[in-house]
Amino acid sequence: METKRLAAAIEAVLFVTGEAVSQKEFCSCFGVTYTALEDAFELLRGKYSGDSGIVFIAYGDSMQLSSNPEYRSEVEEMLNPVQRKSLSQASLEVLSIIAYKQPITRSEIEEIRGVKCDYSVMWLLQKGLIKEAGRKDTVGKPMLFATTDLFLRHFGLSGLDELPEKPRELLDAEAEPE
Amino acid sequence: MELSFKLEKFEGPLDLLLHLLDKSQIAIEDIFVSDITEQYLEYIGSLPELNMDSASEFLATAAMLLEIKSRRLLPKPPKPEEEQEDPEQTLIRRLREYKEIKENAEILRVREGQFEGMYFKKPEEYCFNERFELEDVSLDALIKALDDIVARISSKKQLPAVREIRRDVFTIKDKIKYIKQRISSRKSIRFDELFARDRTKAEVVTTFLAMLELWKNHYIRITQNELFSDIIVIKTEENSGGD
Repeated sequence: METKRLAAAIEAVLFVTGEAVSQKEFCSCFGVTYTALEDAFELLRGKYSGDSGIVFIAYGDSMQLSSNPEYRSEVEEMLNPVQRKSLSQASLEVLSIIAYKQPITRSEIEEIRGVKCDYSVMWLLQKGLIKEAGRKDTVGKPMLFATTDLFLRHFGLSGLDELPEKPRELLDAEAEPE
Repeated sequence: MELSFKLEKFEGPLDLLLHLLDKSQIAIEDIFVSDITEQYLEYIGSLPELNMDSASEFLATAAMLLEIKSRRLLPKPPKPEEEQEDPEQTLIRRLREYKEIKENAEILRVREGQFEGMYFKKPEEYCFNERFELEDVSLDALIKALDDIVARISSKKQLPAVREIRRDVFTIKDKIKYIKQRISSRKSIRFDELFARDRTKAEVVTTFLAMLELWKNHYIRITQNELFSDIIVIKTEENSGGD
């Protein structure tokens, strides 16, 4: 399929479904390669960049169309859509630990935080922000946890390599005693 | 110093320690040459009540702080007795690590706010036919599966002949007699007491039908407390001599 047509086809599909669609699904359904998909994405990114009311987002293996957060207030004023609740401090801390140290077990998380984390881990699993990722090869074979594509979308990241790093200068400053 | 916060505001003992260090402007490494331990204990002691869920972790940390402080007061043993990390260094390392996590969490929190205003559409209803794709199936695998089935069938033929078990025959008439007999002495009986453990489905069904006959003829009443609980059969006062 020609790139322009593929891009338009993706656009149409994403519009109709509203949900996230994986690159894998596009490849197998349209019989195209990942490279061809990438070229199509470039076109779509270009079309939906900047001030557009709709944005094209790609995170992990998923792609989706969504409203541009830039126009959040207008959308909310007019439609008053149901808001997503933001994370509690405990869940956010547990999620951060998992994000930066994945894969990681429950007891390793508790070791870092200094308190139990069962509730937060269950809640995050339920919300689809983390997933089970195999077992650690130690006594008891504890479950390992990792973040999901939904986690990426929640924080506007397109991949784990985009996890914000602490600025280098701050890290160095702390290492040296004053 | 202001120590009027409740324990619930802190995510754990490490959180409280970081807060105290920050307030007193003391570096993490200097925790044990300061009075942070005393501040921590004073704080825990000043709370009118402890939330049982988090109390244990706070108290365990208090014990650890006291142990470390007391070790500092004693002369050092001639050589290190443990292989493990010195508890003082362990705590300092943990405090540093937790502080970093909190800072990362804050950065993520800001990002969360930036992307909160993204809204997605719900999907259209589709009526596409479901397509099934078999993954990882090769012709060889299919042939092997067929071979296994054939082998299993032929091996079955070598089993000893199945012995015959006579089928029990139950009639509703018999069961009606039986139920009447069982409840003649007792006023009520549970439905499942009316047959043995290893009953067959046929027996249960026949008994159930017999029970309904008796009920129709007002010989018994039937009650059940809630959905799927035991069915209770109760003899009625004016027992008609129904069949």
